[in-house]
Amino acid sequence: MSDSDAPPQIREATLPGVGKKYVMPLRAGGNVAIVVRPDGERQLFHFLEHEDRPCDVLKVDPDEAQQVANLLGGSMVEAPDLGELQVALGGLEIEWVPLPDGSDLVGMTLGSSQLRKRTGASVVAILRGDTAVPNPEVDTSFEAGDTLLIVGSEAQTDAARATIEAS
Amino acid sequence: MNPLLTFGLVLLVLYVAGWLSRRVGVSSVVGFLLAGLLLGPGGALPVFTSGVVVSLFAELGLLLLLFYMGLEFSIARFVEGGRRTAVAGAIDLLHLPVAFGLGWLLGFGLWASAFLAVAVYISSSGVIARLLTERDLIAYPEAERTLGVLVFEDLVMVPVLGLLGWLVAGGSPVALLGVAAFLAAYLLAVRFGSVWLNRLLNRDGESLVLVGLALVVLVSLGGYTLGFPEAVAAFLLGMWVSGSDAKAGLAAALEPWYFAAAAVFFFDVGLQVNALEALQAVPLAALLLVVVTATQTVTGVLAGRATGLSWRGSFGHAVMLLPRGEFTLVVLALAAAAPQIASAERASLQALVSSFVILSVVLASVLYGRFDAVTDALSRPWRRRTSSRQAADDWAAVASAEAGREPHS
Repeated sequence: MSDSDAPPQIREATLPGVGKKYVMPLRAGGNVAIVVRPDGERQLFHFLEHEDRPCDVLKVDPDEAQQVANLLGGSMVEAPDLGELQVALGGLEIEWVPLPDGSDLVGMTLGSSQLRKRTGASVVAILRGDTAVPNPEVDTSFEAGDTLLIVGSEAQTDAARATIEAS
Repeated sequence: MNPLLTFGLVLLVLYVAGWLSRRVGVSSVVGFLLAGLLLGPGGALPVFTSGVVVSLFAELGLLLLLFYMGLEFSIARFVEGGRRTAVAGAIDLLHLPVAFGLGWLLGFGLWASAFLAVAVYISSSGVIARLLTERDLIAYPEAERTLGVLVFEDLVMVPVLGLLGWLVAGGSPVALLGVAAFLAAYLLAVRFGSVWLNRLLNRDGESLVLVGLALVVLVSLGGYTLGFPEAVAAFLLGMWVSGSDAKAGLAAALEPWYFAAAAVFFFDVGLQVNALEALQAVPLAALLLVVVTATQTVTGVLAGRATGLSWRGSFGHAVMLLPRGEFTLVVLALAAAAPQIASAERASLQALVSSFVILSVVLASVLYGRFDAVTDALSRPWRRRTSSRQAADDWAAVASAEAGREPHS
């Protein structure tokens, strides 16, 4: 068989109208085929050595597939948690912080909130419904339902998040 | 009957027919067709006729069926299938002469036999994709070949339907000029108009639905005005849209229309057929099904063996390709519009093909349900003739041969 140091070969095929199929020969013999459907459902098929018919089928929905992937390989991609999406940029952090219901900040302007003075973090944009207010001015006022895009060091963004969430 | 009341009742009937079909385990296409047969002018319960509303929706359904077929089609996928798909698809073409010959022997004229051949040739992508998924057959090596052949069949349909449409329209050189004009406009649009198409379809909600439906209907009608078959025009439009960013959005936006109109289309096909004649055509349809099944077995096994499948996989490929459904009925609808086919001949063609589709879907459901047992039994005598060593290495041969054609590895 093949050199066991080489990475496993995966063959990819499009199944028109159904999705994608990935087939990987196993070093212990046999194959595993994974079918990915457009709706995210995955099916895993196990083929024994010298068999062209699967001996077992496993169907997982997107959530379960993510869990199985996490269990199979720690280094694989983790599901992005959109509630606390952090992007590391050379020590800088970007965070999305929604204004809580009934926040005191609603109606206040960016200047009067003194967010940067109090926490060190800057508000670089306000996400409002489907639109965004980039580079808000000091006289831009907050509205209910706004999400603030803030930038700063980890300590600064943490402080800003705490301040906003307590408002 | 009030047209609106007719429309509401038809939708209700189709809902029930679809539900019943799923309960029985066959494609809902069969339920819609049977509903039309039973409730049409020649049926047991003559409630509906093909009035203004039903015909309008049926025509829209035909266009949307072809539009979505084009939307799912892509040259890139066909090329990816490579030599194996081309070989398997070419062998599958044997259906055309066999079915044409049978039609001729059964007493059909030249045109009716030609339409019968095309109707019988094209397998049902919808029924097959659903059965493969439901029965967990999708990872079988022959499923890949089967889905590739379906793409090949779609590709064949474009020139064949175009040619038939032109010949039916009289086949005059002047008509050819119109066809050429439409094709030239289409190619120019694909080459230079894709930015414009993206801008046109870059919207959502009601705007996208309105623009999308208008585009499908008007482009098809534009083709029709120039003597180009409107169904093929809808397919080509779908192919064009499938390459644009707007594909997913438009497909989702028009889906409710597609579901409703396609169901009404199948119902309307049933309405055109006299139920008694369809019943009387059952023995003939069974004979046709036997011939198609035999041809499919020969072509499927030949194609499978020529492209590296095991004996079992080759018989599996043949069984998988068996169902005929929505596109067979599309070809039948086009045949019904051909002036060369006399009304008596048209009636018997409609009765024969409708019965054939129902029988083929039912047979396919049975065979797919016992897929392993059926393919084992069919391939056993052949497997004995090959040495066990060779049979055991079939999969390995498939794997290495397919890995070898990967351009990146």
